[in-house]
Amino acid sequence: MSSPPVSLSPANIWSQDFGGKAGVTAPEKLDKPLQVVTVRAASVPSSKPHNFLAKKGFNVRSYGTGERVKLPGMTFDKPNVYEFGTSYEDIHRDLESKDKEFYTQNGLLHMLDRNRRLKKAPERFQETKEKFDIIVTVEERVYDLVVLHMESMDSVYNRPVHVLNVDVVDNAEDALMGAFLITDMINLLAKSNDLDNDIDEMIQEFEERRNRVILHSVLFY
Amino acid sequence: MDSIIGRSQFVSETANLFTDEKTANARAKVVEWCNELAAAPATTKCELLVKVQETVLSSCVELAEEFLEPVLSLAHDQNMDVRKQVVCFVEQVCKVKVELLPYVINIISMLLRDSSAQVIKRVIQACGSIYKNGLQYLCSLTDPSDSAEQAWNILSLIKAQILDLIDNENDGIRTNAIKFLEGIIVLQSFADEDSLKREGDFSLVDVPENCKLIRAQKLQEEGTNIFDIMLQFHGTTHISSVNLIACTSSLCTVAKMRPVFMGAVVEAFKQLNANLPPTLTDSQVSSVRKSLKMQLQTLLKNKGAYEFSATIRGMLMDLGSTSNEIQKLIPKMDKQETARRQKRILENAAQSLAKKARIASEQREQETRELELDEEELERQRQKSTRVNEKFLAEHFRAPEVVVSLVVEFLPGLPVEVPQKFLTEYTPIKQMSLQQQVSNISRIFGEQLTENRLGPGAATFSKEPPMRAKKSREVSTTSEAPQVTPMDVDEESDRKLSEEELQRKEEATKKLRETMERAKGEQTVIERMKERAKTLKLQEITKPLPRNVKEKFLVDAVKRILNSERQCVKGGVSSKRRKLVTVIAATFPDNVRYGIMEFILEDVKQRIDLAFSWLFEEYSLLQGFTRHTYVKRENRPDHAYNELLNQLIFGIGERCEHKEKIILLRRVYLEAPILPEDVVGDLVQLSLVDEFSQHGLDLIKDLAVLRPPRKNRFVRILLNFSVHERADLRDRSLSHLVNLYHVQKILPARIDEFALEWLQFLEQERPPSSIFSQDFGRPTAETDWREDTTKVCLGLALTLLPYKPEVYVEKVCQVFVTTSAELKRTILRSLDIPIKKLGVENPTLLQLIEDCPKGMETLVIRIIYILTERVPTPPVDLVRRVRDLYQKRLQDVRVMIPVLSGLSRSELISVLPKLIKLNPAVVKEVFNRLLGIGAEFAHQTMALSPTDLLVALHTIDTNVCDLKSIVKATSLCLGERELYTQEVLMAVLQQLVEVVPLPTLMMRTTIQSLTLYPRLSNFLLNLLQRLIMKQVWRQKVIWEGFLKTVQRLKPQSLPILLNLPPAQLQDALQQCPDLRPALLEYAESVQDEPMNGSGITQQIMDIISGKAVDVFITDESGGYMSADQIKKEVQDPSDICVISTVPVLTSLTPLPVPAPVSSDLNQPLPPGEE
Repeated sequence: MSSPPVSLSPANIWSQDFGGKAGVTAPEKLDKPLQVVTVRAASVPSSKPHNFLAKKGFNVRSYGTGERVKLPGMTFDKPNVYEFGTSYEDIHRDLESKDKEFYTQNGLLHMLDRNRRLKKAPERFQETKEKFDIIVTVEERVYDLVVLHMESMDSVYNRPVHVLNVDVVDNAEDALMGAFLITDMINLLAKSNDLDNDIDEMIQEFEERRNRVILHSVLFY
Repeated sequence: MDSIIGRSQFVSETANLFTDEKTANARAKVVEWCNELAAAPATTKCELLVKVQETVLSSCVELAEEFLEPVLSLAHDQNMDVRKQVVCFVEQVCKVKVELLPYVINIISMLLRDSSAQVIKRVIQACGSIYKNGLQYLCSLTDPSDSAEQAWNILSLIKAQILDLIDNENDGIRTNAIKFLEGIIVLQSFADEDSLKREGDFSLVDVPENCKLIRAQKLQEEGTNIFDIMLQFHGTTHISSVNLIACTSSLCTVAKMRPVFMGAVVEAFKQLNANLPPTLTDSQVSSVRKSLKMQLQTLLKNKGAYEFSATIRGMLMDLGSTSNEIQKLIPKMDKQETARRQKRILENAAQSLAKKARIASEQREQETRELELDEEELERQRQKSTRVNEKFLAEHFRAPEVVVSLVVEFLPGLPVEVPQKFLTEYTPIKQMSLQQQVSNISRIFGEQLTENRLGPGAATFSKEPPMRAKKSREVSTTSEAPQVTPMDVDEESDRKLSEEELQRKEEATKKLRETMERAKGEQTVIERMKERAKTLKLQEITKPLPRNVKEKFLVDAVKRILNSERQCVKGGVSSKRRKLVTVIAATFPDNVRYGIMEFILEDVKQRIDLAFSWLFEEYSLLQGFTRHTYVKRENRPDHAYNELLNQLIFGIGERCEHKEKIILLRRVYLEAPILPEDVVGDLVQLSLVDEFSQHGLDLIKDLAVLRPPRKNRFVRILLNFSVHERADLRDRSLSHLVNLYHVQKILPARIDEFALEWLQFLEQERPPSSIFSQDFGRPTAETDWREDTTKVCLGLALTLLPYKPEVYVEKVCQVFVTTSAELKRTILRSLDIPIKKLGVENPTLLQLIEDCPKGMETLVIRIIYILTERVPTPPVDLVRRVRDLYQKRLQDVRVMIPVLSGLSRSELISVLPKLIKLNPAVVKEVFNRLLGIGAEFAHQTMALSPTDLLVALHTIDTNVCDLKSIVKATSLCLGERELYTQEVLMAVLQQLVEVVPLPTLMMRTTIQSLTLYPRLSNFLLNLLQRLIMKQVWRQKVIWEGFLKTVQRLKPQSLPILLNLPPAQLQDALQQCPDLRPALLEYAESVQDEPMNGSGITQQIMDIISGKAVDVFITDESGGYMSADQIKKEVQDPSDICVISTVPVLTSLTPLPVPAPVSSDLNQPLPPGEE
């Protein structure tokens, strides 16, 4: 299992805002443990669950689905927006020039610094060629987008992927909560020897236990 | 390995044939990898496979064939991942070099039956592209080889296998199978203008007409079938959420790719939207609706959905889309196209009508054809129905009132005129017995009832006509009724129109069926699908009851079963009921169990069988003889059994009266399959209860006998009881132990060990602490031996002694020697019973007596005593040994006392002096024995008669024994007046008087006898007379005694005095002056008597009168005896002589003894006789 290229500290949760930002996957040749992806829309830090899962040894990638990368700005209503493809390096430089002290304070620069060593730029889910076992979204809208995207692709491998949506409200506390929740859920699913067979019941159990509604769909690569 | 090495050599040899260096390099690498493959661990294998695959299938495809074999052989690898990687390889092979299909396809078919679901899923995934590539390849072959045909067959088989898997129990496999079928449908159908175009798409259009292997028509039929199967699957009520979403998405794809299916798909979606499966949870419903919405949206974008846009729109509105959104989705079309499509819709409508008609007629055709087949079944049903009806009617026609009322009822219904039919068909009933008539009529009526499906026989008909079940699937998928009815009108014309097509279609169906048959079991899949669609799932329409309600029902039901005891007995099913209750009791939760237990205990006596049945069931469960699904795993496996047994025993103890309790507990203990330790403990406790102790111990003993595996335990209990403080427990358990030891021979060694152990305790100075325990009823330790504790320790050993004397006698002796005096006494006291039981003859005892080791004397004496108690004559053997003992080892005369009766006369006499020297109590006892006084000795026969004894006593040498003891002894004898009667004493005195010298005590005895029996006087006078002859005056003591006797016997004795020689007379008168007057008077009277010729000499007279005091003539020669006589007397071999020859008694001086008097002793001699 390859180490996750993105590893963001939980402490930086507010500082890692990529518009529809993203994680990573493993090579598909050997379908080893679970390959999990968390998918975000924009402006919500999805690295949190990513981090949790990566630390647990899952093969995790994070992606965004939005049109652009959004990072928190000096005020809430004025985020920093970049096109996908803008390298971490460039973003880092840009923010540094804007207000180095502020962005150092909130940890955003630190996070970008680490990320740029792992991969070049934030990735967009729709553009990835990698294949996963489980895709987790944190917003129903993103779930819709992922499903729509997957449906629009030709499935040539007939390989099923489970798309799950766990709603995480966009604030610090809930994001942390959500991270735990997703980690918990993935841990649960990872216990199964035959996920395809068990996922229905596991999700049901998880829903009951956590009193959450999980959207679940199966799609094919 | 050899093969691979060999290959590499071969490769190197042929390498120069290839100019391409890159290929050569690649081969070398692959060879190396393949070599590694064999020995590598699973993960490495996978990695190597990936490398091989990349090299062989990406860069150097020409190598593919060469390395196929080593890779494919890994399909049998144990590791799941390796197998999956092989599948991946095969998939890739079919992509890059599909010509190899015939070589690899077998592996796929095999792996499809893999044990791992993961592998199967991977295979199904791979099959999607393999089938597509394979189909494309096979179609392109103009002249297919055998191997290609084979490959196609296998592909078809795989297809059927996967179709089967849609029914697999694994959700994931089903999902994958659905996806695969989607691909098949798309492949095996025709694309049209509205089809979504995809790169590399393949449809039946691409199948060349001249393809020998594959017929597009056939494939299309099959595809349609599979599509129907998918629709069915999609419509099942219990479909899982994942399957449903996958299926929805697949159907949507099919509809997009092949708009010809659009209508059916939209219809299916509509159905789904209206009736979501009831099994879905709320969030699943949201997921499904969301998915459905998305699919519908995509569908709507497709132009092929134009004619269904209204339906889709409706559904989308229902799913929450705004009409604005919907409007945006509908593809833009110019007016021309819109018109064209409208027109086509109309055309399609007409066509579909025609199609429906076609289907209808086809269906009818099939129905008639199938009807032929099912006639049998129908006929069978009909016959059965008739039989049932007939029987029913015949039974009822027996009662005349029924027949009468039937006739009366129907008379008014008869037509006025006889129908023609009746006239032709009716045959009169003639000359039949009543019975025959009844059966005849019954049959006719029965047939009529059957025709109309009436009567009891109607039940035999299946609800639907039997042929329905056999109808092929196409027909049944669409509901026939609404289609058929409107088309009935122009059925004929339609039939003509479609006849040709029909024929073709039928042929296709036939071919399809062949394919299907080849693809074994597919038909059954369809059947199953159909059935599944119809099956009513109880789970879906019912809600689970709340737990408490369920439990209440359960308990109530069990109660009813329990309370039906009487009814079951009446109905003869009590054994079944028992079985039922048993199983319930053994397998149901605790509350039910306790209920049943309570029920049993309410009347244990009657329900004990049920209890046993249950007990054995528990035992079977415990041992694993019986298996139930419900396993009580919260406790140890034997918990239930133990608990039941405990409760049963406790319940019996609590609730039963004494007598029943004994019987039932006995049964339980004896019949229970195993007895756990605590139950045994209960029994021990129970045995301590007074009223039960006897039965408890009996039971324990029986258990020891009847339960051999636990005998150790039970014997141990009995052993513990045998040393219990309570005497009753001790005695009872001892008697049981003896039984076990001696009769049953159960664990004798163990019992011995215990007995000896306890016996050995006595050797210790103080009682060991181990004998004080709650188990033995004496919880507090004591520091000194008490008689009780001593006896306890002795108890078992002494009880067992008679059964194994060789061990125990020795041990007892050993203990006896070492132990204290106090304990010795106790041991001596306790010996009675065992020694008695052992008996006189026992060699061990005899040996012991003979040996008499040092320190054992008292013990041995005690044993001898015990052995001789109440025995008339001790056995010779014993006597001999005792005698030996006495003479050789043990100089204690007491040892002889018990065997006195066994001794000879002379022996007796020889020990007599020693005996009488013992302490008075013993002497008394000895005399009791000797004389047979008291009940104890009454039956003895002694070698010495009382007479002899007394004589013997008198003849004891006073040097050996002091006179005092002899006096005492004689007094003892004379005290027994019953024995020593007048006659006996006479005999004694008679003998004594003959003894030389006269025994010292003779005169004492004489006087005492006289005191006892005054009537002896005559005899004594005679005796005195004889004494005079024996010169009684020579022994001083006797002379004094003589004179005392004379004094006592005066006046009759006076004449005797006169017989004394003058000197002696003188002496006598001197000693007893009081005699003189009487004697004088007598002498004078005698002188006066004329008849008296004897005459008293003057000398005598003088002496008497006292005149001749000075004149003393000693006339030795004046005696009456001679030396001859004495000699003669000595040689006389009579008894008296024997006495006189006893060495101790040998006279110091031979005295003249008068000749024995042979006169009758009883007759006193006449006075004056000489």
